[in-house]
Amino acid sequence: MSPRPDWTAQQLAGFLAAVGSYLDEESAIAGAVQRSAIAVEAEFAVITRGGRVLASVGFRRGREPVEVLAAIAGDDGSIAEVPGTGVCHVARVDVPVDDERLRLLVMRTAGPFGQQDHALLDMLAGVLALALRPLRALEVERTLRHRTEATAAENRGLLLQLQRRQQLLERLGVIERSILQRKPLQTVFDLIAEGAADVLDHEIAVLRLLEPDDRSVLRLAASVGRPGREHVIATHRPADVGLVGQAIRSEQIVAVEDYNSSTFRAPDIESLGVRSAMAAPVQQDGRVIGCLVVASRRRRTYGTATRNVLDSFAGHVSMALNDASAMEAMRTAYGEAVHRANHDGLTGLANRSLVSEHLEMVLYEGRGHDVTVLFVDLDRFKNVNDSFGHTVGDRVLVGVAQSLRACVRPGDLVGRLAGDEFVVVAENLQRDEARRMAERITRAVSRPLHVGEDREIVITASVGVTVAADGRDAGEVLRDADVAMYRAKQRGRARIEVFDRAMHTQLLDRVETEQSLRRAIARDELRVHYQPVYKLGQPSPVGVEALVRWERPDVGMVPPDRFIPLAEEVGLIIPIGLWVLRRACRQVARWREQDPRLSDLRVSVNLSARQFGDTSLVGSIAAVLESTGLPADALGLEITESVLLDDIDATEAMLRSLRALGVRLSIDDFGTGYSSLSYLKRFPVDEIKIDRSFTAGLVTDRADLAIVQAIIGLADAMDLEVVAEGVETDEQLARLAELGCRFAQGYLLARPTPPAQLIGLLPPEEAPVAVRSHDDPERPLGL
Amino acid sequence: MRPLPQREDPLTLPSHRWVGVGRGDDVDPRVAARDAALAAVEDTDAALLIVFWDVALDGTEVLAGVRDVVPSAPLIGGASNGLVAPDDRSAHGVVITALGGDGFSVATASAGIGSDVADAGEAAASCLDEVEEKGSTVLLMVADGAIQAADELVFGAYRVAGADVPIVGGGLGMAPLLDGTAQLHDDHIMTGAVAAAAISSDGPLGVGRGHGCHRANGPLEVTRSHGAVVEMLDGRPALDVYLEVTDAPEAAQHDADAFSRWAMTRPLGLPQLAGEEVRHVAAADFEARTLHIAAAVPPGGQAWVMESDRHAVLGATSSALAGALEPFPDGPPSAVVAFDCVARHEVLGPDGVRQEGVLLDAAVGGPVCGVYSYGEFGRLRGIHGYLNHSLVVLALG
Repeated sequence: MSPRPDWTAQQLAGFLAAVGSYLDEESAIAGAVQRSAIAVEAEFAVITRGGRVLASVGFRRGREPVEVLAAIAGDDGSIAEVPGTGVCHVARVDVPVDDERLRLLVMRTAGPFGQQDHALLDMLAGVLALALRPLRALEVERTLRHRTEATAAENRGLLLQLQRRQQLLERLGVIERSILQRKPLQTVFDLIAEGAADVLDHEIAVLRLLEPDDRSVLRLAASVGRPGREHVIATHRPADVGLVGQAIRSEQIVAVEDYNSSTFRAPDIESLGVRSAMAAPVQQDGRVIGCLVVASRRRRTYGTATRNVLDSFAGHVSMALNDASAMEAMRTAYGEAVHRANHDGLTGLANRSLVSEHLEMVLYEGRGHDVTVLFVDLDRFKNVNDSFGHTVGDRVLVGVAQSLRACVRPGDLVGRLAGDEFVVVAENLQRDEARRMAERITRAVSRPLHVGEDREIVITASVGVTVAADGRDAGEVLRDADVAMYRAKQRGRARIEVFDRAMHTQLLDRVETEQSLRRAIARDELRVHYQPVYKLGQPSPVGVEALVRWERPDVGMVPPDRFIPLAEEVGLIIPIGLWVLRRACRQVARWREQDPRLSDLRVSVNLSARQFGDTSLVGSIAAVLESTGLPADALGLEITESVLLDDIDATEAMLRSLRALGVRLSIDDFGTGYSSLSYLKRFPVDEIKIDRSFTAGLVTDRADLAIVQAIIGLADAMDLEVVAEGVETDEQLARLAELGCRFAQGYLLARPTPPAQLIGLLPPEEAPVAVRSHDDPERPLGL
Repeated sequence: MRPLPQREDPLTLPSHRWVGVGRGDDVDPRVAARDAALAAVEDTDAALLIVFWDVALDGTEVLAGVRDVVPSAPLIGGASNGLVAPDDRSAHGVVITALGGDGFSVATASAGIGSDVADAGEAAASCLDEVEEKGSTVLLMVADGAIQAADELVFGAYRVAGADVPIVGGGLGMAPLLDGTAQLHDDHIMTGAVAAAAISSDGPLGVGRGHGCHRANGPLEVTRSHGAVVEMLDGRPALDVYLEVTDAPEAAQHDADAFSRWAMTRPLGLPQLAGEEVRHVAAADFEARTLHIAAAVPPGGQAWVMESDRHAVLGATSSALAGALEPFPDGPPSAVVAFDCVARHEVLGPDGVRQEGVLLDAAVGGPVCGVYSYGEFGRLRGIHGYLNHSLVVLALG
């Protein structure tokens, strides 16, 4: 998990507050290890110097594995084996104090140290170095005091120095707090300049920073003790001149006790009456970016302690700048991370989490207002991906996102929940306005989209609309809109449906049916019934159509129209279809072998759109034929017109592959779809089945009669066989015979029947040549 | 008794280990303590008795009752604002967990808490230096719930315990606000102190924790704070901001008791690497418009106002139990010692309290030894271990 900026600030704050409170180096180091461990939530923290462990936390007291720790501190691996705990993630940072380097080592089990952890550790190391430096100086003075017989004057001087140290610590504390509280940089700079002047007792203090885009120029960042009107400190001055220039070049403190005789004197400073001055370089990220100067009109001497004080103030300028840039980086990173976390990378729309959050908010705030949610789902988007690839699919999604943005009002939220699911959240929208917005969306989406060179794609969308009722939460409202969208899909796609509560009940029924259907295969609740197909004038069927039935133990036989469309939709049709195919082929192969009347029996099995699109179909059929021993030409596959017309090229390829197996192909429900004569010629089909609706009107409706005549004529011309479905009356049968139709099936002849009863429908071996009805096998059909 | 695990060295004699829990609810505190001790102590070689009693009872009488049964065994525990129990009567009595046998090794220590809280934690945890190491070791600490900067207590103890020894326990009662508050160490009844027991066992020891709070309002910037006093939030007086974002009722805006009741279920959450550190809002200073928090809140960071509900609190109980029972895959542990924040009691309400008592009793298959606490100690991993609004569970087998 990557730490959050607020977390980092919190830890830095805790560390600063604690480390600043210690009065000797040993306590400060012991405290710092514990505070560092707390800051990065590490079990272990260690400070070493020159390979020796100075302090550690996280080990049983007295059992610190000092050698192991010294080795890990000196190593540069990001993981290490810690005795008693196991593998830990490791981070190290150097703490420069005067001319020596301490090393802070932290180790934790929870997870690796990220960039922000390292940034935080750098800041902790900087703070620790600044806290240790004056403590060390104090320590030296304490030692001196003990060792020498100091004179009263020296004691007074020492006391003064100690008071100055205290003043220094207090000043630095104020500056650190202002950095932490993210006071404006100018305020921090002013505090630093003021602090340096006061603590060092100089009349003038000036902070200059290099211009970021022109490092030859120094800009005035802060100053105290500005001279009178006759002397003006230039806001800009060359970076390579005088004392300041030397400090920047040498990257070291430059102190001049006799300014007038120094080689660094500059006329403008001289004119201020300066007699002594000192300049410390200011660094950021290891690079000199400016200079902090103190100057006095009195003659001064500059010892190490005095230089260190100026260095501490200059260090705080660095700290403020580093903190500001770290914060800026964090803010930027955080802002980007928040945006990334809340938006869909492809379309730039709000993602599911932002949509939910926004919806929760408007539902909460918008009591009394209408909150409308439009759930937009692209129709058959999968086909776009499958046919043109995901690159084109992505372009379509981007195009749709643009269309959606154009259809909503300012302030409405457009989001992409997943895949091809989009959502619009709109407030204060009247019901008719909501419908108009939905209509705008369906129109806009269905405009041709350019997705590449000369390529256009037309796609439609189904839209579900809901107006949030009181007390519903975001999840429920989205679900309502989704249910309405689903209804739009069910009703033929490219539609708009407004949610009503009845939809839920239907959806629940559907879910329940789906679950039962999934179990039905495993529980052997599916059955195959067979409806005989007769050649007119023959007593025995020439073929059977295999029809799947579902025998639910709790509700009895479920009609196919109650579960086949569902199975198709949820993909269960593929295993079910394969099961039916295998079962039917095995059964028919057995009949052909066992009963001479059925030795040439053929079986036809329906193929759904999903199965037809399944690339493993041809292989599955070949395997079934092989395993059941049914000759390929005894198997017919029935495909509806609408399936054939989905993608003409792919259809033709698939049909030819199937045909290559040797199976027969027939077009089911012919005449109900976009009956196109051209595809009859192009596709390798063997048979047309006249839809039962035409058979039903054959005797009573002249139009139906004309259609049936045309189909039979067409089939004749193209040398295809014709089977009439749904024959229920003698008159229909007689008329079909007159028209030249040679094959028929229907309740008049035989109902779909379980396999065990089919033999009972057959005529005795020596029966006269006549077709008998199922209901009354003795009654001749009069042909 | 649960069967003991197979020892690896066949030449070593098998160790003996026993754990028992007893409750006593007689109106006479000495009798109640005696009943509880008699039920808990299974043998003469008791290594430690963990004794909790309701503040309404006289602590010296409770101690006398325990000593009637075990004249010299080490004791640790204290009085607090009620016991965790599935019924009201048991919640106001005495509950004792006793452990003994040579499979356990125990050492105890205590320290008064002065200006350096971490030092007191370190001193109490020094009992770890004395304990004979067996398979697993845990440090149990009970402290006065009124101490400031109780997080330092855990940090101090961590200096001794290190990462391998879990720290569990809690603040019991709040002297001097709550009459009868006491910490028990052997024959000493103290206030303003911390007592600790280092428990090492050759059997399993399990520790779990949970709180059930979630972010409700925020984030708020901690503009200014000193230690545990938050002075400014979002650049404005902290109390004003807190009352405003929590939509506090009129009474909580000027009455200390009403404020405490209101704040009891609305702690602050300080962002950490692994989620929020929950911090109880203990009191308000209506003059200075500041908030007094249970532990230090560093300036410059952020804070959220947290909330919880009965279901989340009970869910956290389950997850704390699940953590504690993890080393016991084959059956319940022999005892569960629980430190349950009083604020959770408030959120749970009477029904929830009963449900939690039943849940805890069911986990151990007998009475749980639980106490309501003011600040909990639960350092399992990482370095943080001072908790608020939490349940910390120690399972002993």
